[in-house]
Amino acid sequence: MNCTDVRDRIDDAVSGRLAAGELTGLEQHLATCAECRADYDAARYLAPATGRLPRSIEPPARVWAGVEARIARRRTVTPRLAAAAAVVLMAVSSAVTALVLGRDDAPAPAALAAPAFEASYIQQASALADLLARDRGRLAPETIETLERNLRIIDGAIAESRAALEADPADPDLRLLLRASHEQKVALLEQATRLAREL
Amino acid sequence: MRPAAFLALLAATAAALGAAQPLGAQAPVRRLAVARDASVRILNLTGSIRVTGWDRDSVTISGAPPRGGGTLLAGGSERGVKIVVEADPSVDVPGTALEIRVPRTATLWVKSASAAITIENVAGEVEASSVTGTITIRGAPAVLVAESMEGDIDISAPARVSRVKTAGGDITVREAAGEVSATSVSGAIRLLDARGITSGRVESVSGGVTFNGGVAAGGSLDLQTHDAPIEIFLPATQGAVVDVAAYGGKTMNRIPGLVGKPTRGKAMQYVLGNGGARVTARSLKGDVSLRSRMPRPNPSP
Amino acid sequence: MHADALFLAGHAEGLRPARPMADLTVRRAQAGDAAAFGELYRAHAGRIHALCLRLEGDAARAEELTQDVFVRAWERLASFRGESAFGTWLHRLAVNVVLADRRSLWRRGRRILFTDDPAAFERPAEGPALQAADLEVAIAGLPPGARAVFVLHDVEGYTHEEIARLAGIAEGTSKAQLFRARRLLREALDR
Repeated sequence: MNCTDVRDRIDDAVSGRLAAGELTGLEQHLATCAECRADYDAARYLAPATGRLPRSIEPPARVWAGVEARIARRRTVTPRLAAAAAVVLMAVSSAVTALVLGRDDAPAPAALAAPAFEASYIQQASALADLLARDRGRLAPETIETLERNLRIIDGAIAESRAALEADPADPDLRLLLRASHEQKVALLEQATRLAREL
Repeated sequence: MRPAAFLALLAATAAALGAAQPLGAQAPVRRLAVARDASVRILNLTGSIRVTGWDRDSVTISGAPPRGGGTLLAGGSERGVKIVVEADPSVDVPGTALEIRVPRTATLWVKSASAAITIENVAGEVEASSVTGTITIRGAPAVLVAESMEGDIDISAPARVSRVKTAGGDITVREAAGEVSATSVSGAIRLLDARGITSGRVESVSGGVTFNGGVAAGGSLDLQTHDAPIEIFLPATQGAVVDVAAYGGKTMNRIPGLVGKPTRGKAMQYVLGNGGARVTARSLKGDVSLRSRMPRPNPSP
Repeated sequence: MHADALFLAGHAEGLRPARPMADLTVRRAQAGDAAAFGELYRAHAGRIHALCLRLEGDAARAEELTQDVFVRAWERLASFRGESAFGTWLHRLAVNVVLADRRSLWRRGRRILFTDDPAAFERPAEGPALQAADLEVAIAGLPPGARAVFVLHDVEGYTHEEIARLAGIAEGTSKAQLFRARRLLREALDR
């Protein structure tokens, strides 16, 4: 047995689940290999105490209070309505950008419907935009400008990808392209929200 | 000395030095003994941060804030050290130029706003992030996470696992290997002289994507843009199945003797050699080109 | 009308019947019942909080993360289709939230500025026997990569394959981190 084989079997050996034949091979290796011996000893040493660690530690009551407050704001778009709301959420993607940037001129809704899988991304972006709108005063003007420029680029990509997917809904690459644009948007908003909260 | 007292002494020393230093002068080196795999956390918003790995079990710090430029705090224990420049961002003074040496196998976090970050010869886990500062990484961290809004990120001989992300900054990764994820919104992304990528994901919305190098047999590489060009250069010895889906743009195959076959709609598939790796490229409006090598070499800086 | 047909198509996709779920509380929460969601919170918060505490090491941040997990769970409830137990789904979501947050340097930066406690890096006190409390402190002292893998594998029971997928690392890296974590813990506790 070589070191890789041994290391893959250490956990089973420590918990007594290793077959007798393999156990012999393992012990023979451990007798001559200091590194694997150290790994085996460490696993055996830790196993009892790790098993005794509490799996559940109740958080203080304020945690639930915070959750309740945040989901109260989200409840206008419940999971069951999300699919139906996908139709009207077409415009919300750009409206999210408008919200982040504090503008009142949200673009008018387009005529096309949005695929249902987008709803979750749009919800996430909306949640982040809320947080960001609250804290955007903490961002430097240049950072806001960067954010604005890149959000517009992504919104354009989302609109164009969506239109292409509408024309050919079965195309998996078009789906991937649209999904990727949404993920870019959520990732960018997350990055900006972290910046606003922590700088 | 007990760590708490150690920290207090260092803070007092740093404050005194910070007040006394003339603009731009380097403070004497301070040294902290640490374990080889200690954590080192560095925060300096403006100025510059240069971190170099070495084979000693200690951290040394050079550089002090200029007059009015804040306070340098450093302390911890042999398991971990924090180095922080606390400064008032509204005061208009140059930032602090920090030079730090850490054990080569340390775990490193570096954060800045506009300060340029340079990390060399650190083989542990490295995380670096900035808002506008450039990030330059040399040497091969085990794991690398690098993030910036606008700063360009330049990596040579990178990690076995790396995650690089910008909003607008350009990303260049030389000699990429292993698992690489590089994403940007408007920045251009170039993976040059890649060696044996096992899992690669390169995505930019409006920035161009260039890949030049090798994908490991059984590995996968996924390249995507919205409306910018994707350029793929593969060595003559690369075995790969390459699937290209370019909707609004052109698909250009410049590999001599290679014939693609249409798969679905506008998508094309090319089989190179024994087809051992999977490469996929898709763009809604950008052109995708496939070539067997870059027209001229890209020297490392 | 074209728009109505599209509306119905989108609507139908969202309401495609899931496999029957044993848990009525989950279904009520999915329908928007916040009180039902509160019951789910009471049932699972302890476990999620313990995970966040061990992966994080910082009590205040662990509370924030626990909150973030449940808010995201509320937002993503529609995507739970009963293929696994709700607790399993929630736990996986929590791991994603914490690991994504851990990679964020911004958060770490804030801790550096406002946590001046050098004891954050102290070695655990020596004791006569290996107590669970000593182990908790030692886990908190691990470097983050090793700590994450140790908590997920040895404490929470994820396989290396699952950890690799969740953390976006190679399986080999996960195994290496685990062995490194165990050795470091042994060293720390044996002194």
